[in-house]
Amino acid sequence: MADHMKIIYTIIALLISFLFISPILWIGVISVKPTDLIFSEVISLTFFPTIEHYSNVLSSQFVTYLLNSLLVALFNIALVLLISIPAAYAVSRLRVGRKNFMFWLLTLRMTPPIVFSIPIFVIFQLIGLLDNLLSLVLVYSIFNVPLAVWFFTTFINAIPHEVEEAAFIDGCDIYNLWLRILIPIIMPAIVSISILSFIAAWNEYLFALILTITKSRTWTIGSQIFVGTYRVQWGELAAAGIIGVIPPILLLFIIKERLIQGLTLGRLRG
Amino acid sequence: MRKWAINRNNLFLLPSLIILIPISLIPFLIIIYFSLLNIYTFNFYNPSWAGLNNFINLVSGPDFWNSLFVSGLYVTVVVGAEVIFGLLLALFFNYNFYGKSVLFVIIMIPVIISQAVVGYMFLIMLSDMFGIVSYILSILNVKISILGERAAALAAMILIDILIWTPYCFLVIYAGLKTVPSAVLEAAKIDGATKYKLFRYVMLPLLLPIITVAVIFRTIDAFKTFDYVYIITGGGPGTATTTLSILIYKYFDSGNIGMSSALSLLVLIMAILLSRLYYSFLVSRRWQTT
Repeated sequence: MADHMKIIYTIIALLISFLFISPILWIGVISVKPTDLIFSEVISLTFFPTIEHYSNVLSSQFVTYLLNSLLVALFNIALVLLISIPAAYAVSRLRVGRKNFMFWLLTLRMTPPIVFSIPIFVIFQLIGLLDNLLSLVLVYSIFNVPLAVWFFTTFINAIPHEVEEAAFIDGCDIYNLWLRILIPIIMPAIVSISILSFIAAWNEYLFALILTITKSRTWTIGSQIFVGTYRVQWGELAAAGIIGVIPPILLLFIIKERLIQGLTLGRLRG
Repeated sequence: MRKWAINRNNLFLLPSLIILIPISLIPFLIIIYFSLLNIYTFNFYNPSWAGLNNFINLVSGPDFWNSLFVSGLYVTVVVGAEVIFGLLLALFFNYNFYGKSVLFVIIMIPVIISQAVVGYMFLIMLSDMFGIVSYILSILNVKISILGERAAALAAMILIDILIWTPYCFLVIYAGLKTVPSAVLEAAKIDGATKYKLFRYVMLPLLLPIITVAVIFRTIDAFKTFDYVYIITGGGPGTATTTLSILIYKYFDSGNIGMSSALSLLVLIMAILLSRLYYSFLVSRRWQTT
Protein backbone atom coordinates (compact mmCIF):
# COMPACT_ATOMS: atom_id res chain seq x y z
CA MET A 1 0.00 0.00 0.00
CA ALA A 2 1.14 3.51 -0.74
CA ASP A 3 2.78 5.14 2.20
CA HIS A 4 0.75 8.34 2.09
CA MET A 5 -2.48 6.31 2.25
CA LYS A 6 -1.18 4.69 5.41
CA ILE A 7 -0.65 8.11 6.96
CA ILE A 8 -4.13 9.30 5.95
CA TYR A 9 -5.65 6.17 7.50
CA THR A 10 -3.63 6.72 10.64
CA ILE A 11 -5.01 10.26 10.95
CA ILE A 12 -8.60 9.05 10.45
CA ALA A 13 -8.06 6.31 13.05
CA LEU A 14 -6.67 8.84 15.51
CA LEU A 15 -9.69 11.09 15.02
CA ILE A 16 -12.11 8.20 15.56
CA SER A 17 -10.33 7.05 18.72
CA PHE A 18 -10.29 10.63 19.95
CA LEU A 19 -14.04 10.91 19.40
CA PHE A 20 -14.72 7.86 21.56
CA ILE A 21 -12.60 8.92 24.50
CA SER A 22 -13.20 12.66 24.24
CA PRO A 23 -15.76 12.67 27.10
CA ILE A 24 -13.22 11.05 29.43
CA LEU A 25 -10.48 13.42 28.28
CA TRP A 26 -12.76 16.38 28.92
CA ILE A 27 -13.59 15.14 32.41
CA GLY A 28 -9.85 14.76 32.96
CA VAL A 29 -9.46 18.43 32.00
CA ILE A 30 -12.25 19.51 34.38
CA SER A 31 -10.68 17.50 37.21
CA VAL A 32 -7.52 19.65 37.13
CA LYS A 33 -9.16 22.98 36.31
CA PRO A 34 -9.42 25.57 39.10
CA THR A 35 -13.03 25.82 40.31
CA ASP A 36 -13.66 29.45 39.28
CA LEU A 37 -12.39 28.78 35.75
CA ILE A 38 -14.73 25.79 35.32
CA PHE A 39 -17.58 28.29 35.41
CA SER A 40 -16.04 31.45 33.97
CA GLU A 41 -14.09 30.03 31.05
CA VAL A 42 -15.98 26.92 30.04
CA ILE A 43 -13.96 26.01 27.00
CA SER A 44 -10.51 27.35 27.88
CA LEU A 45 -7.63 24.88 27.92
CA THR A 46 -4.97 27.40 28.95
CA PHE A 47 -4.84 27.36 32.73
CA PHE A 48 -2.46 26.24 35.40
CA PRO A 49 -3.58 22.74 36.47
CA THR A 50 -4.48 22.22 40.12
CA ILE A 51 -4.62 19.07 42.23
CA GLU A 52 -7.04 20.76 44.60
CA HIS A 53 -10.00 18.59 43.49
CA TYR A 54 -8.07 15.37 43.86
CA SER A 55 -6.88 16.27 47.33
CA ASN A 56 -10.44 17.22 48.32
CA VAL A 57 -11.76 13.90 47.02
CA LEU A 58 -9.04 11.85 48.68
CA SER A 59 -9.53 13.56 52.03
CA SER A 60 -13.29 12.92 52.02
CA GLN A 61 -15.52 9.92 52.71
CA PHE A 62 -14.83 8.89 49.13
CA VAL A 63 -11.75 6.92 50.22
CA THR A 64 -13.93 4.69 52.39
CA TYR A 65 -16.24 4.16 49.43
CA LEU A 66 -13.30 3.17 47.23
CA LEU A 67 -12.19 0.64 49.83
CA ASN A 68 -15.75 -0.72 50.07
CA SER A 69 -15.82 -1.25 46.31
CA LEU A 70 -12.42 -2.94 46.42
CA LEU A 71 -13.49 -5.33 49.20
CA VAL A 72 -16.77 -6.20 47.51
CA ALA A 73 -15.06 -6.81 44.16
CA LEU A 74 -12.29 -9.01 45.64
CA PHE A 75 -14.61 -11.16 47.77
CA ASN A 76 -16.99 -11.43 44.84
CA ILE A 77 -14.17 -12.79 42.63
CA ALA A 78 -13.38 -15.43 45.24
CA LEU A 79 -17.03 -16.44 45.52
CA VAL A 80 -17.57 -16.50 41.75
CA LEU A 81 -14.52 -18.71 41.12
CA LEU A 82 -15.42 -21.03 43.98
CA ILE A 83 -18.91 -21.77 42.70
CA SER A 84 -18.51 -21.37 38.93
CA ILE A 85 -15.62 -23.72 38.22
CA PRO A 86 -17.33 -26.80 39.72
CA ALA A 87 -20.58 -25.86 37.97
CA ALA A 88 -18.84 -25.44 34.62
CA TYR A 89 -17.05 -28.77 35.13
CA ALA A 90 -20.38 -30.46 35.85
CA VAL A 91 -22.01 -28.96 32.77
CA SER A 92 -19.10 -29.73 30.49
CA ARG A 93 -17.97 -33.17 31.72
CA LEU A 94 -20.65 -34.70 33.90
CA ARG A 95 -23.45 -33.65 31.58
CA VAL A 96 -25.73 -32.23 34.21
CA GLY A 97 -27.64 -28.98 33.97
CA ARG A 98 -26.92 -28.65 30.28
CA LYS A 99 -30.33 -27.31 29.42
CA ASN A 100 -32.22 -25.86 32.35
CA PHE A 101 -29.27 -24.65 34.40
CA MET A 102 -27.57 -22.94 31.46
CA PHE A 103 -30.84 -21.44 30.27
CA TRP A 104 -31.51 -20.11 33.75
CA LEU A 105 -28.07 -18.49 33.80
CA LEU A 106 -28.67 -16.93 30.41
CA THR A 107 -31.98 -15.54 31.64
CA LEU A 108 -30.18 -13.99 34.62
CA ARG A 109 -27.80 -12.34 32.18
CA MET A 110 -30.71 -11.05 30.08
CA THR A 111 -33.00 -9.74 32.80
CA PRO A 112 -32.69 -6.09 33.78
CA PRO A 113 -31.18 -6.12 37.29
CA ILE A 114 -33.87 -3.72 38.54
CA VAL A 115 -36.32 -6.64 38.33
CA PHE A 116 -34.44 -8.56 41.01
CA SER A 117 -33.27 -5.66 43.07
CA ILE A 118 -36.62 -4.87 44.71
CA PRO A 119 -37.39 -8.36 46.09
CA ILE A 120 -33.71 -8.67 47.04
CA PHE A 121 -34.08 -5.42 48.96
CA VAL A 122 -37.06 -6.93 50.79
CA ILE A 123 -35.23 -10.19 51.56
CA PHE A 124 -32.13 -8.44 52.84
CA GLN A 125 -34.20 -6.12 54.96
CA LEU A 126 -35.91 -9.12 56.57
CA ILE A 127 -32.64 -10.92 57.35
CA GLY A 128 -30.88 -7.70 58.35
CA LEU A 129 -28.26 -7.66 55.59
CA LEU A 130 -29.21 -4.24 54.27
CA ASP A 131 -26.39 -1.70 54.11
CA ASN A 132 -23.88 -4.52 54.54
CA LEU A 133 -20.99 -5.19 52.16
CA LEU A 134 -21.77 -8.91 52.31
CA SER A 135 -25.09 -8.26 50.56
CA LEU A 136 -23.27 -6.78 47.56
CA VAL A 137 -20.73 -9.63 47.50
CA LEU A 138 -23.63 -12.08 47.22
CA VAL A 139 -25.77 -10.09 44.81
CA TYR A 140 -23.02 -9.39 42.30
CA SER A 141 -22.93 -13.14 41.67
CA ILE A 142 -26.20 -12.65 39.81
CA PHE A 143 -24.34 -11.26 36.80
CA ASN A 144 -20.82 -12.58 37.38
CA VAL A 145 -21.69 -16.27 37.86
CA PRO A 146 -23.55 -16.63 34.53
CA LEU A 147 -20.60 -15.02 32.73
CA ALA A 148 -18.11 -17.25 34.55
CA VAL A 149 -20.00 -20.52 34.04
CA TRP A 150 -20.60 -19.93 30.33
CA PHE A 151 -16.97 -18.86 29.93
CA PHE A 152 -15.46 -21.79 31.84
CA THR A 153 -17.75 -24.27 30.10
CA THR A 154 -16.41 -23.19 26.72
CA PHE A 155 -12.90 -23.48 28.09
CA ILE A 156 -13.32 -26.93 29.66
CA ASN A 157 -15.12 -28.19 26.54
CA ALA A 158 -11.92 -27.44 24.64
CA ILE A 159 -9.79 -29.67 26.89
CA PRO A 160 -9.43 -33.13 25.28
CA HIS A 161 -10.95 -35.96 27.33
CA GLU A 162 -7.66 -37.84 26.93
CA VAL A 163 -6.04 -35.48 29.42
CA GLU A 164 -8.25 -36.70 32.23
CA GLU A 165 -8.21 -40.32 31.07
CA ALA A 166 -4.41 -40.35 31.02
CA ALA A 167 -4.32 -38.81 34.48
CA PHE A 168 -6.71 -41.42 35.87
CA ILE A 169 -4.75 -44.27 34.28
CA ASP A 170 -1.61 -42.91 35.90
CA GLY A 171 -3.40 -43.21 39.23
CA CYS A 172 -4.39 -39.62 39.73
CA ASP A 173 -7.34 -39.05 42.08
CA ILE A 174 -10.00 -36.41 41.59
CA TYR A 175 -8.35 -33.86 43.89
CA ASN A 176 -4.99 -34.08 42.18
CA LEU A 177 -6.73 -33.99 38.83
CA TRP A 178 -8.16 -30.63 39.83
CA LEU A 179 -5.12 -29.16 41.54
CA ARG A 180 -2.38 -30.35 39.23
CA ILE A 181 -4.08 -30.67 35.86
CA LEU A 182 -7.39 -28.88 35.35
CA ILE A 183 -6.73 -25.69 37.30
CA PRO A 184 -3.38 -25.04 35.56
CA ILE A 185 -4.97 -25.66 32.16
CA ILE A 186 -7.82 -23.22 32.75
CA MET A 187 -5.59 -20.68 34.48
CA PRO A 188 -5.85 -18.15 31.61
CA ALA A 189 -9.64 -18.35 31.90
CA ILE A 190 -9.43 -17.89 35.66
CA VAL A 191 -7.36 -14.75 35.19
CA SER A 192 -9.76 -13.36 32.58
CA ILE A 193 -12.83 -14.11 34.67
CA SER A 194 -11.24 -12.59 37.77
CA ILE A 195 -10.54 -9.38 35.88
CA LEU A 196 -13.93 -9.23 34.18
CA SER A 197 -15.73 -9.94 37.47
CA PHE A 198 -13.65 -7.30 39.18
CA ILE A 199 -14.52 -4.70 36.54
CA ALA A 200 -18.22 -5.57 36.64
CA ALA A 201 -18.37 -5.44 40.45
CA TRP A 202 -16.25 -2.30 40.64
CA ASN A 203 -18.48 -0.49 38.13
CA GLU A 204 -21.85 -1.67 39.46
CA TYR A 205 -24.38 1.05 40.25
CA LEU A 206 -27.99 -0.12 40.50
CA PHE A 207 -27.78 -2.77 43.24
CA ALA A 208 -25.49 -0.52 45.25
CA LEU A 209 -28.03 2.28 44.86
CA ILE A 210 -30.81 0.16 46.31
CA LEU A 211 -28.97 -2.01 48.86
CA THR A 212 -26.60 0.48 50.47
CA ILE A 213 -27.62 3.36 52.68
CA THR A 214 -24.59 4.95 54.31
CA LYS A 215 -21.70 2.94 55.60
CA SER A 216 -21.47 0.34 52.84
CA ARG A 217 -21.74 2.74 49.90
CA THR A 218 -19.51 1.96 46.94
CA TRP A 219 -17.67 4.64 45.02
CA THR A 220 -20.19 4.74 42.16
CA ILE A 221 -22.90 5.74 44.64
CA GLY A 222 -20.48 7.67 46.83
CA SER A 223 -19.65 10.07 43.98
CA GLN A 224 -23.08 11.51 44.67
CA ILE A 225 -21.73 13.31 47.75
CA PHE A 226 -20.33 15.85 45.29
CA VAL A 227 -23.75 16.41 43.71
CA GLY A 228 -25.49 18.66 46.22
CA THR A 229 -29.09 19.80 45.96
CA TYR A 230 -28.11 23.39 45.30
CA ARG A 231 -24.50 23.16 44.23
CA VAL A 232 -22.62 20.53 42.24
CA GLN A 233 -18.90 20.31 42.92
CA TRP A 234 -17.92 19.79 39.30
CA GLY A 235 -14.19 19.50 39.88
CA GLU A 236 -14.53 16.98 42.68
CA LEU A 237 -17.12 14.96 40.77
CA ALA A 238 -14.80 14.83 37.75
CA ALA A 239 -11.81 13.85 39.89
CA ALA A 240 -13.83 11.08 41.58
CA GLY A 241 -14.84 9.77 38.16
CA ILE A 242 -11.26 9.76 36.91
CA ILE A 243 -10.09 7.90 40.04
CA GLY A 244 -12.88 5.37 39.50
CA VAL A 245 -12.06 4.62 35.87
CA ILE A 246 -8.33 4.12 36.40
CA PRO A 247 -8.43 0.53 37.78
CA PRO A 248 -10.53 -0.89 34.90
CA ILE A 249 -8.35 0.89 32.33
CA LEU A 250 -5.18 -0.55 33.89
CA LEU A 251 -6.74 -4.02 33.92
CA LEU A 252 -7.77 -3.58 30.29
CA PHE A 253 -4.11 -3.63 29.29
CA ILE A 254 -3.77 -7.09 30.88
CA ILE A 255 -6.71 -8.75 29.18
CA LYS A 256 -7.06 -6.86 25.88
CA GLU A 257 -8.07 -9.63 23.44
CA ARG A 258 -9.81 -11.71 26.08
CA LEU A 259 -12.22 -8.86 26.69
CA ILE A 260 -14.24 -9.77 23.60
CA GLN A 261 -14.46 -13.39 24.67
CA GLY A 262 -15.69 -12.30 28.07
CA LEU A 263 -18.22 -9.84 26.76
CA THR A 264 -19.89 -12.50 24.64
CA LEU A 265 -20.14 -15.10 27.44
CA GLY A 266 -17.04 -16.88 26.19
CA ARG A 267 -18.61 -17.74 22.83
CA LEU A 268 -16.22 -15.74 20.70
CA ARG A 269 -12.45 -15.68 20.61
CA GLY A 270 -10.77 -12.33 20.16
CA MET B 1 -26.26 -47.13 42.12
CA ARG B 2 -27.13 -45.17 39.04
CA LYS B 3 -29.31 -42.77 41.02
CA TRP B 4 -26.43 -42.10 43.40
CA ALA B 5 -24.14 -41.31 40.50
CA ILE B 6 -26.57 -38.71 39.19
CA ASN B 7 -26.85 -37.14 42.63
CA ARG B 8 -23.11 -36.94 43.05
CA ASN B 9 -22.75 -35.16 39.72
CA ASN B 10 -25.35 -32.66 40.79
CA LEU B 11 -23.25 -31.85 43.86
CA PHE B 12 -20.98 -29.82 41.60
CA LEU B 13 -23.88 -27.53 40.81
CA LEU B 14 -24.90 -27.24 44.45
CA PRO B 15 -22.66 -24.32 45.50
CA SER B 16 -23.90 -22.16 42.64
CA LEU B 17 -27.50 -23.12 43.39
CA ILE B 18 -27.09 -22.21 47.06
CA ILE B 19 -25.98 -18.71 46.08
CA LEU B 20 -28.20 -18.15 43.06
CA ILE B 21 -31.53 -19.46 44.33
CA PRO B 22 -31.91 -16.92 47.17
CA ILE B 23 -30.97 -14.00 44.90
CA SER B 24 -32.88 -14.97 41.77
CA LEU B 25 -35.46 -17.74 42.17
CA ILE B 26 -36.89 -16.57 45.50
CA PRO B 27 -37.05 -12.95 44.27
CA PHE B 28 -38.92 -14.26 41.25
CA LEU B 29 -41.54 -15.87 43.52
CA ILE B 30 -41.71 -12.74 45.65
CA ILE B 31 -42.37 -10.61 42.55
CA ILE B 32 -45.26 -12.86 41.56
CA TYR B 33 -46.71 -12.69 45.09
CA PHE B 34 -46.29 -8.91 45.46
CA SER B 35 -47.72 -8.23 42.02
CA LEU B 36 -51.03 -9.66 43.24
CA LEU B 37 -51.17 -7.45 46.35
CA ASN B 38 -52.06 -3.88 47.15
CA ILE B 39 -48.72 -3.40 48.84
CA TYR B 40 -47.03 -0.12 49.67
CA THR B 41 -44.19 0.74 52.01
CA PHE B 42 -46.68 2.07 54.55
CA ASN B 43 -48.80 -1.11 54.66
CA PHE B 44 -45.94 -3.52 54.01
CA TYR B 45 -46.81 -5.85 56.89
CA ASN B 46 -50.52 -5.57 56.28
CA PRO B 47 -51.17 -5.70 52.53
CA SER B 48 -54.55 -6.40 50.96
CA TRP B 49 -55.30 -8.74 48.08
CA ALA B 50 -55.42 -7.00 44.73
CA GLY B 51 -55.89 -9.83 42.28
CA LEU B 52 -54.95 -8.61 38.83
CA ASN B 53 -55.65 -4.96 39.65
CA ASN B 54 -51.99 -3.95 39.42
CA PHE B 55 -51.74 -5.34 35.92
CA ILE B 56 -55.03 -3.74 34.90
CA ASN B 57 -53.83 -0.39 36.26
CA LEU B 58 -50.60 -0.80 34.34
CA VAL B 59 -52.08 -1.48 30.93
CA SER B 60 -54.88 1.03 31.32
CA GLY B 61 -52.58 3.90 32.38
CA PRO B 62 -50.31 5.91 30.09
CA ASP B 63 -47.02 5.31 31.96
CA PHE B 64 -46.51 1.70 30.93
CA TRP B 65 -47.17 2.37 27.25
CA ASN B 66 -44.98 5.45 27.31
CA SER B 67 -42.09 3.50 28.81
CA LEU B 68 -42.60 0.61 26.44
CA PHE B 69 -42.40 3.10 23.59
CA VAL B 70 -39.33 4.86 25.02
CA SER B 71 -37.52 1.56 25.64
CA GLY B 72 -38.54 0.19 22.24
CA LEU B 73 -37.42 3.30 20.38
CA TYR B 74 -34.21 3.50 22.38
CA VAL B 75 -33.23 -0.12 21.80
CA THR B 76 -34.09 -0.08 18.10
CA VAL B 77 -32.20 3.11 17.31
CA VAL B 78 -29.08 2.43 19.38
CA VAL B 79 -28.66 -1.20 18.31
CA GLY B 80 -29.17 -0.32 14.65
CA ALA B 81 -26.75 2.58 14.72
CA GLU B 82 -24.14 0.81 16.82
CA VAL B 83 -24.06 -2.29 14.62
CA ILE B 84 -23.74 -0.22 11.42
CA PHE B 85 -21.04 2.05 12.86
CA GLY B 86 -19.30 -0.94 14.46
CA LEU B 87 -19.26 -2.76 11.12
CA LEU B 88 -17.88 0.27 9.29
CA LEU B 89 -15.21 0.74 11.93
CA ALA B 90 -14.27 -2.95 11.77
CA LEU B 91 -13.92 -2.76 7.99
CA PHE B 92 -11.80 0.36 8.39
CA PHE B 93 -9.53 -1.38 10.88
CA ASN B 94 -8.77 -3.94 8.20
CA TYR B 95 -6.65 -1.28 6.48
CA ASN B 96 -3.05 -0.87 7.38
CA PHE B 97 -2.08 2.07 9.58
CA TYR B 98 0.30 3.05 12.33
CA GLY B 99 -0.32 2.42 16.02
CA LYS B 100 -3.21 0.05 15.38
CA SER B 101 -2.78 -2.01 18.56
CA VAL B 102 -2.65 1.08 20.79
CA LEU B 103 -5.70 2.68 19.17
CA PHE B 104 -7.47 -0.66 19.45
CA VAL B 105 -7.05 -0.62 23.22
CA ILE B 106 -8.05 3.04 23.45
CA ILE B 107 -11.29 2.35 21.60
CA MET B 108 -12.07 -0.40 24.15
CA ILE B 109 -12.00 2.06 27.05
CA PRO B 110 -15.66 3.23 26.87
CA VAL B 111 -16.80 -0.39 27.15
CA ILE B 112 -15.09 -1.04 30.48
CA ILE B 113 -15.62 2.18 32.39
CA SER B 114 -18.44 2.50 34.89
CA GLN B 115 -21.83 3.46 33.49
CA ALA B 116 -22.20 5.66 36.55
CA VAL B 117 -19.13 7.65 35.51
CA VAL B 118 -20.60 7.98 32.02
CA GLY B 119 -23.61 9.46 33.80
CA TYR B 120 -21.57 11.91 35.87
CA MET B 121 -19.48 12.82 32.81
CA PHE B 122 -22.46 13.81 30.71
CA LEU B 123 -24.20 15.40 33.66
CA ILE B 124 -21.26 17.80 33.66
CA MET B 125 -21.00 18.13 29.88
CA LEU B 126 -24.72 18.65 29.23
CA SER B 127 -25.28 21.09 32.09
CA ASP B 128 -27.22 24.12 30.88
CA MET B 129 -24.88 26.93 31.89
CA PHE B 130 -21.41 25.50 32.20
CA GLY B 131 -21.46 22.24 30.25
CA ILE B 132 -19.24 22.19 27.19
CA VAL B 133 -21.93 20.78 24.90
CA SER B 134 -24.43 23.48 25.81
CA TYR B 135 -21.66 26.05 25.56
CA ILE B 136 -20.71 25.01 22.04
CA LEU B 137 -24.37 24.95 21.01
CA SER B 138 -24.83 28.48 22.36
CA ILE B 139 -21.82 29.68 20.35
CA LEU B 140 -23.47 28.13 17.28
CA ASN B 141 -26.56 30.13 18.26
CA VAL B 142 -28.63 27.05 19.02
CA LYS B 143 -30.68 27.98 22.05
CA ILE B 144 -31.82 24.75 23.60
CA SER B 145 -31.92 23.29 27.08
CA ILE B 146 -30.82 19.75 26.23
CA LEU B 147 -32.06 18.13 29.41
CA GLY B 148 -35.11 20.38 29.60
CA GLU B 149 -36.84 19.34 26.40
CA ARG B 150 -38.39 15.94 25.82
CA ALA B 151 -37.09 15.13 22.35
CA ALA B 152 -33.65 16.61 23.03
CA ALA B 153 -33.22 14.67 26.27
CA LEU B 154 -34.14 11.35 24.67
CA ALA B 155 -31.93 12.09 21.67
CA ALA B 156 -29.07 12.92 24.03
CA MET B 157 -29.46 9.59 25.86
CA ILE B 158 -29.48 7.74 22.53
CA LEU B 159 -26.38 9.56 21.29
CA ILE B 160 -24.55 8.82 24.55
CA ASP B 161 -25.41 5.13 24.22
CA ILE B 162 -24.11 5.11 20.65
CA LEU B 163 -20.89 6.87 21.66
CA ILE B 164 -20.26 4.43 24.51
CA TRP B 165 -21.32 1.14 22.93
CA THR B 166 -20.31 1.40 19.26
CA PRO B 167 -16.84 0.21 20.33
CA TYR B 168 -18.45 -2.95 21.70
CA CYS B 169 -20.03 -3.80 18.34
CA PHE B 170 -16.75 -2.91 16.66
CA LEU B 171 -14.81 -5.32 18.91
CA VAL B 172 -17.18 -8.21 18.32
CA ILE B 173 -17.48 -7.70 14.56
CA TYR B 174 -13.74 -7.11 14.17
CA ALA B 175 -13.05 -10.39 15.98
CA GLY B 176 -15.34 -12.08 13.48
CA LEU B 177 -13.77 -10.31 10.55
CA LYS B 178 -10.37 -11.74 11.43
CA THR B 179 -11.76 -15.27 11.13
CA VAL B 180 -12.86 -14.75 7.51
CA PRO B 181 -10.35 -16.90 5.63
CA SER B 182 -8.22 -14.77 3.34
CA ALA B 183 -8.23 -17.55 0.75
CA VAL B 184 -11.94 -16.95 0.20
CA LEU B 185 -11.35 -13.24 -0.39
CA GLU B 186 -8.42 -13.93 -2.72
CA ALA B 187 -10.51 -16.36 -4.73
CA ALA B 188 -13.31 -13.83 -5.08
CA LYS B 189 -10.83 -11.16 -6.19
CA ILE B 190 -9.34 -13.48 -8.81
CA ASP B 191 -12.85 -14.15 -10.08
CA GLY B 192 -13.12 -10.41 -10.64
CA ALA B 193 -15.37 -9.34 -7.75
CA THR B 194 -15.60 -5.59 -7.25
CA LYS B 195 -15.11 -4.11 -3.77
CA TYR B 196 -18.85 -3.75 -3.31
CA LYS B 197 -19.58 -7.28 -4.52
CA LEU B 198 -16.78 -8.63 -2.34
CA PHE B 199 -18.44 -7.05 0.67
CA ARG B 200 -22.04 -7.79 -0.22
CA TYR B 201 -21.74 -11.36 -1.44
CA VAL B 202 -18.66 -12.71 0.33
CA MET B 203 -17.92 -10.88 3.56
CA LEU B 204 -21.43 -9.98 4.71
CA PRO B 205 -22.78 -13.55 4.57
CA LEU B 206 -19.69 -14.80 6.42
CA LEU B 207 -20.06 -12.04 9.01
CA LEU B 208 -23.79 -12.41 9.51
CA PRO B 209 -23.54 -14.86 12.44
CA ILE B 210 -21.14 -12.56 14.28
CA ILE B 211 -23.30 -9.52 13.56
CA THR B 212 -26.20 -11.45 15.05
CA VAL B 213 -24.16 -11.99 18.20
CA ALA B 214 -23.49 -8.26 18.42
CA VAL B 215 -27.20 -7.53 17.92
CA ILE B 216 -28.19 -10.06 20.59
CA PHE B 217 -25.87 -8.76 23.27
CA ARG B 218 -26.51 -5.11 22.50
CA THR B 219 -30.28 -5.64 22.54
CA ILE B 220 -30.03 -7.24 25.98
CA ASP B 221 -27.85 -4.52 27.40
CA ALA B 222 -29.68 -1.59 25.79
CA PHE B 223 -32.89 -3.03 27.23
CA LYS B 224 -31.25 -3.03 30.68
CA THR B 225 -29.95 0.56 30.50
CA PHE B 226 -30.51 2.31 33.80
CA ASP B 227 -27.42 3.84 35.35
CA TYR B 228 -26.59 6.88 33.30
CA VAL B 229 -30.12 7.70 32.22
CA TYR B 230 -31.09 7.71 35.89
CA ILE B 231 -28.09 9.86 36.86
CA ILE B 232 -28.48 12.38 34.04
CA THR B 233 -32.24 12.81 33.68
CA GLY B 234 -33.86 10.68 36.38
CA GLY B 235 -36.33 9.69 33.66
CA GLY B 236 -37.31 13.26 32.85
CA PRO B 237 -38.15 15.80 31.69
CA GLY B 238 -41.61 14.53 32.51
CA THR B 239 -41.54 10.93 31.32
CA ALA B 240 -39.49 11.53 28.17
CA THR B 241 -36.61 9.23 29.14
CA THR B 242 -38.46 6.92 31.52
CA THR B 243 -37.44 3.51 30.23
CA LEU B 244 -39.08 0.38 31.62
CA SER B 245 -36.20 -0.07 34.11
CA ILE B 246 -36.59 3.48 35.35
CA LEU B 247 -40.37 3.17 35.61
CA ILE B 248 -39.93 0.12 37.86
CA TYR B 249 -37.56 2.12 40.02
CA LYS B 250 -39.93 5.12 40.12
CA TYR B 251 -42.80 2.93 41.38
CA PHE B 252 -40.50 1.39 43.97
CA ASP B 253 -39.11 4.76 45.02
CA SER B 254 -42.57 6.19 45.51
CA GLY B 255 -43.42 3.21 47.75
CA ASN B 256 -45.77 1.43 45.35
CA ILE B 257 -44.30 -2.06 45.68
CA GLY B 258 -47.29 -3.78 44.08
CA MET B 259 -47.17 -1.87 40.80
CA SER B 260 -43.41 -2.08 40.77
CA SER B 261 -43.58 -5.88 41.09
CA ALA B 262 -46.30 -6.21 38.45
CA LEU B 263 -44.19 -4.27 35.96
CA SER B 264 -41.08 -6.25 36.98
CA LEU B 265 -42.96 -9.44 36.20
CA LEU B 266 -43.94 -8.20 32.74
CA VAL B 267 -40.36 -7.16 32.01
CA LEU B 268 -39.07 -10.48 33.31
CA ILE B 269 -41.44 -12.35 30.98
CA MET B 270 -40.14 -10.29 28.06
CA ALA B 271 -36.58 -11.16 29.09
CA ILE B 272 -37.38 -14.87 29.37
CA LEU B 273 -39.00 -14.87 25.94
CA LEU B 274 -35.94 -13.14 24.48
CA SER B 275 -33.65 -15.64 26.25
CA ARG B 276 -35.64 -18.55 24.81
CA LEU B 277 -35.18 -17.06 21.37
CA TYR B 278 -31.46 -16.50 21.80
CA TYR B 279 -30.65 -19.66 23.71
CA SER B 280 -31.28 -21.86 20.70
CA PHE B 281 -29.01 -19.58 18.73
CA LEU B 282 -26.24 -19.45 21.32
CA VAL B 283 -26.02 -23.22 21.74
CA SER B 284 -26.18 -23.94 18.03
CA ARG B 285 -22.63 -24.48 16.90
CA ARG B 286 -22.85 -23.16 13.40
CA TRP B 287 -21.57 -19.68 14.16
CA GLN B 288 -18.88 -20.56 16.67
CA THR B 289 -15.45 -19.46 15.66
CA THR B 290 -13.54 -21.58 18.13
